[in-house]
Amino acid sequence: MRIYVLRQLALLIITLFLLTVFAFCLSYWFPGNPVTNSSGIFTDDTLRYTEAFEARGFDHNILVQYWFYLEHLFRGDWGISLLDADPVFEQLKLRFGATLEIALLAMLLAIIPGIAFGVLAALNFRKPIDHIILSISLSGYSIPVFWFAQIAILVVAVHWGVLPIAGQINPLFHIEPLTGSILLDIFITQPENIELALRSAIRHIMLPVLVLSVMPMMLLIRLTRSSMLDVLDKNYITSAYAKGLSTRRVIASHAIPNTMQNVIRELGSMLSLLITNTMIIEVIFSWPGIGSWLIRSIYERDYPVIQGGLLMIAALILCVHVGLNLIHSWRYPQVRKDLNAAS
Amino acid sequence: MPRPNLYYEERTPSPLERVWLEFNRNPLARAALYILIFIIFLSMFGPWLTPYGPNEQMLDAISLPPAWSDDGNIRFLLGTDELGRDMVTRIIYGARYTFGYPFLVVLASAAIGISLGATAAITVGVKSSTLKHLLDVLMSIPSLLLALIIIAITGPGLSNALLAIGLVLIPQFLHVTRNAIQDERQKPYVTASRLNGVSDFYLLTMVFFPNIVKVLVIQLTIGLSIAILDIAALGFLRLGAQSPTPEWGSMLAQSLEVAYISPWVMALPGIALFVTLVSVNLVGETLRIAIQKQLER
Amino acid sequence: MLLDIRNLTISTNTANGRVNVLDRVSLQVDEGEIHTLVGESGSGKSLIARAIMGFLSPRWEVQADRLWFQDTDLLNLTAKQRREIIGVDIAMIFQDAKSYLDPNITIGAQLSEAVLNQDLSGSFFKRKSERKAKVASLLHRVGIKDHEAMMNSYAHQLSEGAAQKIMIASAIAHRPLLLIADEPTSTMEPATRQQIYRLLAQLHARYGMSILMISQDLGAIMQQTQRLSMIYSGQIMETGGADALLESPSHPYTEALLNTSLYRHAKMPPRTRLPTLAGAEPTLQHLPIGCRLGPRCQYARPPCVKTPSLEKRQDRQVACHYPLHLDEGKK
Repeated sequence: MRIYVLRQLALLIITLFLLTVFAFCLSYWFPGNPVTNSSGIFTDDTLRYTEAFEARGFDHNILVQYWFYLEHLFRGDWGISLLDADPVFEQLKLRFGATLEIALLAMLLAIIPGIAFGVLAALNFRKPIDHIILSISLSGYSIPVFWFAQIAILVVAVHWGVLPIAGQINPLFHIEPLTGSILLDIFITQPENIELALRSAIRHIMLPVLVLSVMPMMLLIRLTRSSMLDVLDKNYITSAYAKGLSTRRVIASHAIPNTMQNVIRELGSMLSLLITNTMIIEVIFSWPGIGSWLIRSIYERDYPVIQGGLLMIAALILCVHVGLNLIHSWRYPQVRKDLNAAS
Repeated sequence: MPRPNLYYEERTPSPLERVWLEFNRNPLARAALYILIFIIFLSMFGPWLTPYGPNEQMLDAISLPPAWSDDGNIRFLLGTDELGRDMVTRIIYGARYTFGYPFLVVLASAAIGISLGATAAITVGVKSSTLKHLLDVLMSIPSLLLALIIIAITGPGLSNALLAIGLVLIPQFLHVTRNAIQDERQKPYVTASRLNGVSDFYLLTMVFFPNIVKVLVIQLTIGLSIAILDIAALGFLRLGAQSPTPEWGSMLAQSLEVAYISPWVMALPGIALFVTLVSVNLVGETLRIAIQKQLER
Repeated sequence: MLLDIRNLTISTNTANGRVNVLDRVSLQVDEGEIHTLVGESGSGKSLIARAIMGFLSPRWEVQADRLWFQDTDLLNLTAKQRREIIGVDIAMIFQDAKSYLDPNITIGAQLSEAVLNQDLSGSFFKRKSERKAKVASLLHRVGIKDHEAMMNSYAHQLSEGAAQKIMIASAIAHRPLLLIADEPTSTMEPATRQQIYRLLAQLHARYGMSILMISQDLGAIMQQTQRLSMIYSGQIMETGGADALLESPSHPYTEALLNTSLYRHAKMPPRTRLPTLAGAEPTLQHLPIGCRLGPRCQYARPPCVKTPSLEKRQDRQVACHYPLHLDEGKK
């Protein structure tokens, strides 16, 4: 097990290293000047440009440049935005919190109904309930998230006027951004009208999270259903019945834990989907997260931001993947055995 | 010893017939298949069917609702948008941009990915295992994010978006092909033909390929669904098809401002996109079920 | 009579219409008896076992004149009542035992599931340790000495024989009256098989439980078998005392099976053709009418298109219009 953990961590480090190499190369591949692309300082600002040029070692060969790039990366100096000269790393940290906030909440919201309906469908295999759940999940899975968000805004926010259209909180509240996650910030800063502020924040966050949670939920339903069906066909379920256990007990202590094994393995692919959708949702709801910033910077050609945002999101995904792998092998003994056998 | 021929001949349906039977069994799946064929037809011959040009602005008919509402006009069956362009025309043209081009792109990247994957699977060794790890990493990064990066390098535009999606899909096909071949390689029938002394090329085309084609077909539908969704998402983010192009995603983006006054401008491209995606996914799902059933027998 | 099955018919829908996979099967198991059911694969022997346990999925339709266990009719029970009987009085072990163990739970935890609460006497707090002791003693009883290590291991770490022992341990946890063994040794090497048979025979001698053993090979049945039933293609062909049946089979099928097992041919001259049954077992779609052995039977005559009923002939029951070795005059 320890060897496996070490291997996974080593793999993670290697891939993160490759990722930084890729991000470093981007400043050459992007149109324009590589120094500007990586530091965010224009050539007309001669004094600071030469400073950045030397600090990033552009007078040396490319390996040295990469070394200096890494040094800057770890110092937290990810350059400044070409657009408004904000330091990229500080901004990303705040926006990271905001992104994580809605992504995690949506995930949490998706998990319980997703698994519950999946199990329900599997237990009623080929019965009407199964068909209903399956067709809802198939169509829910096919709704393009941006269209769904638009409809939700149009109906809930504009037509009914129940929830606000966009943003994190009513701009009248002044919440000092510390973590970027609005709910956490309110708890940390403890403004005078905390109750009102919280209510406003929750009303703002509800719609994006709801819209965002639909797709992972539908995917989870399908995933849980199919792996549950697999598990129910397994022999150990029969032998559990042969012991005289009640159906409920067989499902709870044998079928569901084994189903979760497959579900956890597939959670990674769900995460990719969630991140993609989060980026789109952030744009639609003007949520100040990484995704919306990244997309804005793509058409503003704000290269330092693109580089930083990409690095951050990709690193997050990779770390979560390795984490899932580790959980998977820690929780499920025979996976470990297979891994050891394969190595 | 000859088998006594007392029983009438049992006819087992061929794999293709089985797939067809599965479609026949499920009316929804059959409907999805027909819709898909219809959309393919539209994206091929759409421009000859439409009454107007996609960017033709009828100044006398701006923001007309669909024909069945009181203010509608039968000339514009599904109404017009805020610039007086016919919605029917734009939706039909959009099929080409949102379905047709991604379809071609998927086919192209499938061809590249599958041949690369087959090569990778045949050449075993360190090269192959590093490739596997790299691919695993690449697969874990969402396709839209990768496409965004490529677009950041090349700049926005429909052709760039298509290129980006094509590039992003290649590793997926590569991965699936390679894994499928690697799985088959373990099976006794492959060992049997190896023992017969067949060449690598024969092994690949006559032994592996017929057995992995099912997996590839499924991956094709998954890839198609991803490509359509991504091209529409890029259009929506104004990074793919640009403004006057009647691509469904960018039509949705344009409809944002007028969604409250003329909701049909927002609803129609969305419905078109939704129906297309449902059909693709449903056809893929049915294929998957049919193939799984064959494996169980 | 512990288990009494009369005219059990199990049917299912296939592409070619409704098929009786089991056709009026009758089977009796007495208290304390080892009864072996022999048939080729696909003859429906496992179906009988599963029908007794109530494991069949709804696409199999089960009908019977009688499916009695002791004095309860299993067919009239609700699923829950049936589960209770199964949990206490009937147990089952399977072929390919490893796949019947949950891969994610330790062996100890799985075994303790089989220990019933009413078997424990202690208070609520003592139950955990008591349960553990019970599991340990179960393991000892099936011949596993290092119970601590076994309880902490997982299914994938066991050999096939050890896994089968675990299954047996779990089956005898609450001293069942009937143990159904569905080809428990068919995937094992002969040495392990003998071990398992010995274990089963010991347990049988110790607790006096009945065993319904299902086997596909006449040559590899338990020596302790008292009664033997032959099943072919969903029909019972012959039932009777094991020794008598092996000595002089009355049904052509039994004879054919016996002829194919080698030990009978020790005295045959060299280069003789090994007698085998012509043809192959019919598939579900093409079951012959009447006696299903008909097309392959060398003694078949026109009346064989009518299904023979299982009739008492001397010391056994035979389902054949022209039984062998009984009274030569009839033949």
